[in-house]
Amino acid sequence: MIDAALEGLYGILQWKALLLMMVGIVISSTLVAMPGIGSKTAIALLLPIAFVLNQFEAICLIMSVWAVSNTANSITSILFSVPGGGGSQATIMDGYPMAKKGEAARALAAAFTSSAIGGIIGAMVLLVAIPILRPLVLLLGPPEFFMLVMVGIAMVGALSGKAPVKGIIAGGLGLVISMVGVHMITGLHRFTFDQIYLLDGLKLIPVTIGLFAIPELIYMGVKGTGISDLPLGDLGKGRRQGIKDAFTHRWLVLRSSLIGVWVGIIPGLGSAVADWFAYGSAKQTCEGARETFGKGDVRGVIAVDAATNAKEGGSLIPTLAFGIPGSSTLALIFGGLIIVGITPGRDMLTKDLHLTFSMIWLLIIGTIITSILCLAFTRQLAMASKLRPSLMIPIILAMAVIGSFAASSRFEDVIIMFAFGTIGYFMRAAGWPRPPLLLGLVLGPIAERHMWTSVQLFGADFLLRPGVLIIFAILVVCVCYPMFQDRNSKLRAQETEA
Amino acid sequence: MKKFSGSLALGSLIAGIAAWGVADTQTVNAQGFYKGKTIKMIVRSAPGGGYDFYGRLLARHMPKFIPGKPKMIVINMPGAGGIVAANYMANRAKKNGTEIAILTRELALAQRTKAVGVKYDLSKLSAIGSAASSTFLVVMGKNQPIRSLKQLKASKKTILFAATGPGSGSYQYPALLKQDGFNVKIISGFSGGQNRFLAIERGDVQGTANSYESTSKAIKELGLIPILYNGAPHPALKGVPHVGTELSSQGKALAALLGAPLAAGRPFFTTGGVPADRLKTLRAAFKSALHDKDLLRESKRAKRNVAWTAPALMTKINAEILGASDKVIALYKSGAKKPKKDLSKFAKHSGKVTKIKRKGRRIWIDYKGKEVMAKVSGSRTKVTLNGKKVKRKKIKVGMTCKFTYPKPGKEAAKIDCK
Repeated sequence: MIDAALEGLYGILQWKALLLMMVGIVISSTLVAMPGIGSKTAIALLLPIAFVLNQFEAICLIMSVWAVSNTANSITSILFSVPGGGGSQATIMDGYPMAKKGEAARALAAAFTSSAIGGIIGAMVLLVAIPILRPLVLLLGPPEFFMLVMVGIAMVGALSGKAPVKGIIAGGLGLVISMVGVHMITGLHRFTFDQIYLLDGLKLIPVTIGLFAIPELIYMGVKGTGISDLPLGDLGKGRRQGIKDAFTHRWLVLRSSLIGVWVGIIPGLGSAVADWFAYGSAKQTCEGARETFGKGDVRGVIAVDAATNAKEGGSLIPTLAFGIPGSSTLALIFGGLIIVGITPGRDMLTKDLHLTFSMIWLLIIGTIITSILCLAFTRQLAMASKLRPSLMIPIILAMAVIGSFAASSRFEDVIIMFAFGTIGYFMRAAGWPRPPLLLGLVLGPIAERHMWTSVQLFGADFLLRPGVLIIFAILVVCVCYPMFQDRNSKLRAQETEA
Repeated sequence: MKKFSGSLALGSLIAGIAAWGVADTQTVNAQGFYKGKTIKMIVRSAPGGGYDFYGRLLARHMPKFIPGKPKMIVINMPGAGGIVAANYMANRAKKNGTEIAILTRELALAQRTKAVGVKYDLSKLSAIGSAASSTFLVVMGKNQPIRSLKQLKASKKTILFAATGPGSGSYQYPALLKQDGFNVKIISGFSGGQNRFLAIERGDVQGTANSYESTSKAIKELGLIPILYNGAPHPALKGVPHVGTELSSQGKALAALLGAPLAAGRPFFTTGGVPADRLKTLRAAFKSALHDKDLLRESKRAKRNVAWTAPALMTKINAEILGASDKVIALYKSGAKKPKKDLSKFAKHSGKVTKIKRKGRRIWIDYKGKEVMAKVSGSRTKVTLNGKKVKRKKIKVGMTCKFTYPKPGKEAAKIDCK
């Protein structure tokens, strides 16, 4: 095993492989970091180049685009409230308020640093998991996956803050919206009104951009100031503080990374929810989080970015063990790696173990390089939050429109973006939490599919399988722990008052 | 005078455009036409996946076989299972041979079954050729007793098949077997082939149907057993029966309908109305590209099969599908939907209505001296009064009604009243 590890490391440290890794990182941190341009598009365009590469070089070029895309995705989330990609939505929650407070440099630095640490933890878990991968994933059937998703849905409560009822309604609305389109199991058309556009359902990116970016634009326009009207302060100091923050809250980083890995392991859940899970859990477990989260608490940023990067290590687990891609991007990546003779599945854990190790090394080295690169430009990036609104509004608006359009080149997506922009504005104005809506939108179809299959296989008995019961117990703890904590803190407050 | 010169200028402009247009379609041959032009290659799905692979492969290798060496750019146009791209080609693409597309192989079926959103007529698009043919398999797991189609046919135990959903081959083939009298049940909702293989390995289900290309590895690694195939014969499948030899005549007709698109698995089209010489040029370039050494090397490395299908054969296959009888189409559609409830096994009780509650949602009749109740659904229960279809609230106490339902207390499928 050590031989394989060294061979994997040696393979990606060749100058050509390293150079290609840098190319991948630069593409990922510039192009892919723009809203709407996902790593999938970039990888599809790069695939033909893989024909002339050896195995390690192909891994370096193609996988680096994917592995580090979450780091730079946070930039637009923090600065403009426009998510750079599916995984950086929750970064907005505290990152953007921090930018508003003039702490953009700190937020960015904290995000980049925790990204690096999260990425490393994800890779480490993958490393440890290698021997037990197959039995682990074989234990989880559709019923267990259904219950795992339910744990995610329980997060709605945590994400709703002080307005649980509004949160549940928003989550329900998200579920309803997720049903739009052709039902993937029965082929039934739901809420499509015979519109061909609606057959594919509403896409996450335009909905997210609409919900989060457009309301901010309106507020910015009304207020007539840039993102932050407070002085930026010492940017170098902010950056140092941000790096320090990530290490001060090391347990939070570890916890969030493990959540990220867990979400990554569940095929199909990956990209868009790891951030919300981590954010929700941080909000439940951090001291005083209920008051400060959403108002620019650096812990909200750290938790999210650690999780989104750790997730990538986790999502490699089912891909490597069974050839089940954890996400559509991974499916594309392995479709490309087949070109150079790398086929996912059992061989990756035996004969091709050195290639698996090269991927683990790539995750580690790649995230570190990306974070250092991003940290180097933090000051310049943070300046953007001081631009005046007459400049900012058109830039962000253009970003929002292009981002919505670029995902699938359909004009209707732009209309959807503006429609959800309107909804988002009214939700924000009336104090309705927006994250539960997104969570419902993402988790609805997954929960439905696993439940459908489980019921067909086992009837209602699927709820009594041991794995399901264990996960249910975890769910109960997740829901009850914060309530218990709340009561305790209230009691303590009463005691101190008395 | 000013007015006159104005209209003169306008007139000459129109004449000029017209002359240019005529020159465009008639006098300039295909060779000169493509020089310096850019051809758009429309791909029916998002980047990644099979259609995208073949679209980009041809976009890289086709231009060198077109006289004038035009540029070729790829545009992904996903949506509605490929219908968006087909609609675009039929209605909005330029009809001068500068736009070609790789469209979905189920195009003809979608048109014949009048799928929602279809705004194209396939017979009006021009086929260029297909880049690959495909084989579809029914496979069984290693750790279960069924080893052949014969054993499956004889099985008394219901055999479970994993599927994604209706419309996919993984659903259609078990549905085909079911219609042919096999004792199988379809478990849908699995995403992708690997998840279905995993369900077989876990023992949740016994078999599944999948394309040969995506199954060959699992046959080797997991010991899956192929028991039936459709489409192009494959040397690795020696001894496995073809679907056409084993089923009833009705099953065969349906299998032929399902098998037709496999022969043209990656179909390329251009718009209708393209001048004949240009269409000829495109078809020839397509064929040459598929026999090109560089292209074959790339596809071999990517483990994608390449097989040229003549446009004439594609047109014939599509015509066959479009001309399929209503009976076969109905069979096909019933395989794609949940089968209707078998009313012959339902209880049929009649008697005088004694009680009605919740505006007709619950109805009691006196059946052989006993009161029995049926639930009445507004959408699922068919209510008739003297043979005419009516709403449930029209039923009144004292009428004589016949319930058709699973058993007393359950929702009725039919209620006929007098």
